[in-house]
Amino acid sequence: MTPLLQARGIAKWALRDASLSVAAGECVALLGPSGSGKTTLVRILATLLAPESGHVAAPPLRRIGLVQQRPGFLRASTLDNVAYPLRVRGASRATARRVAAERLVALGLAARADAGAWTLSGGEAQRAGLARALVARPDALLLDEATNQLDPEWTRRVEDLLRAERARGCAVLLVTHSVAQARRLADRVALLEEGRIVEEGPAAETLASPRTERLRAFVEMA
Amino acid sequence: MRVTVEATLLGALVGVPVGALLGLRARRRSVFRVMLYTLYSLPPVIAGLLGYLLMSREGPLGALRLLFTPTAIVVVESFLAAPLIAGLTVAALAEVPANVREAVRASGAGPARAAWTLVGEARAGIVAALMVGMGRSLAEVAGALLVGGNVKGETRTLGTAILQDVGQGDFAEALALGALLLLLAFALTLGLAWLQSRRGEDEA
Repeated sequence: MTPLLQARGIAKWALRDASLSVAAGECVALLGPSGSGKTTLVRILATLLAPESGHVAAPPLRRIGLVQQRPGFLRASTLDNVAYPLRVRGASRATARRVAAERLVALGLAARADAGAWTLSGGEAQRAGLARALVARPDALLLDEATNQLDPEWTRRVEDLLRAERARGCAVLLVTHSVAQARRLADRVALLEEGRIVEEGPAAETLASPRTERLRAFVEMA
Repeated sequence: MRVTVEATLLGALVGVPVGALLGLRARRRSVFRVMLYTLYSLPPVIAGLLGYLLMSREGPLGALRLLFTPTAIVVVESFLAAPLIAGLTVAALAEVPANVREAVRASGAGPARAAWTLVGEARAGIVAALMVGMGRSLAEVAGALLVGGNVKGETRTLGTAILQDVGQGDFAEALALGALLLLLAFALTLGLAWLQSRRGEDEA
């Protein structure tokens, strides 16, 4: 399968020679300690950041959905924030708001639609960020530790939502610290350490019997 | 008063886009920023001189016959206000958090749309920039005198009127006009502050 998202030999800041790809309809979990360059790799794959060297192939920004670790919001209502990607794509205010409202309902934020986005709690902000990333039905979804502030119930519901996105053919890159979540969601896992992917493979087998000491330590710690 | 408002608007028309361009394209533009900050302290008398040369009969804009009209003062005052407004717009845009800028781009906004959105995000700071720009042009005398000529009923501003009163020893009138000028500055500031708080109230 041709990958939808592909990075080869990327060097930038903490990254040195990192390569990763995600195909359409595939979910790849990117694991790694803090400071290993996960967020940088996500931003490079989203074409928000240019690498110093290496090659990136990705759909245009308009077809990518990004959930930031700490979602940035405009000084507007939650609803208008979620509607923004549709407005940018030329949808009328009414249409954009209607579709955004549906997304907010799916993520349990209907009651917070008119509240200023800056008033959302950490977990609510993550769900609103996800709603915004999904609202324009992206071809690729990049999640940078996007569920780490959710309660177990919402973590499960968001994971169901991500499965549905993958099922419709969306490529999902999931940056996570949770080995359990990687097991539940990912087709493949990759461990990023010191700027390189040190181990990569099918999720179930790789996490069950890691080849490298580093991944074994990571799995055992989790 | 009218001159001040028009000068601020003209200054904003130039200053805000220039500020946005410099504020949103962070690198490579530091030379322009230094130039901008130098223009902060552009002496009014030099702005007046430039305006005079520009609009005098032999100047490039001489055919418009603007010299010694209120419009001439507006032009010169906008020379003074625009760099301040541009510089403070740069500063206001720098206050927009990096994750918000990134979210705007990641939402698929093109450069123009992203700029429009981010200027909207920085609106409180940009209104403050307009206040400062207005403050600079309100009480300015040297430029207004050079290109306006202090013609009674035509191009006499409060500032130039005070200057004349002092020259003639009429300190009482000068003081009264000075008080009026302060009052006007207060009213303008109050108006803009109200605008700022009204726009910002849904943020609290």
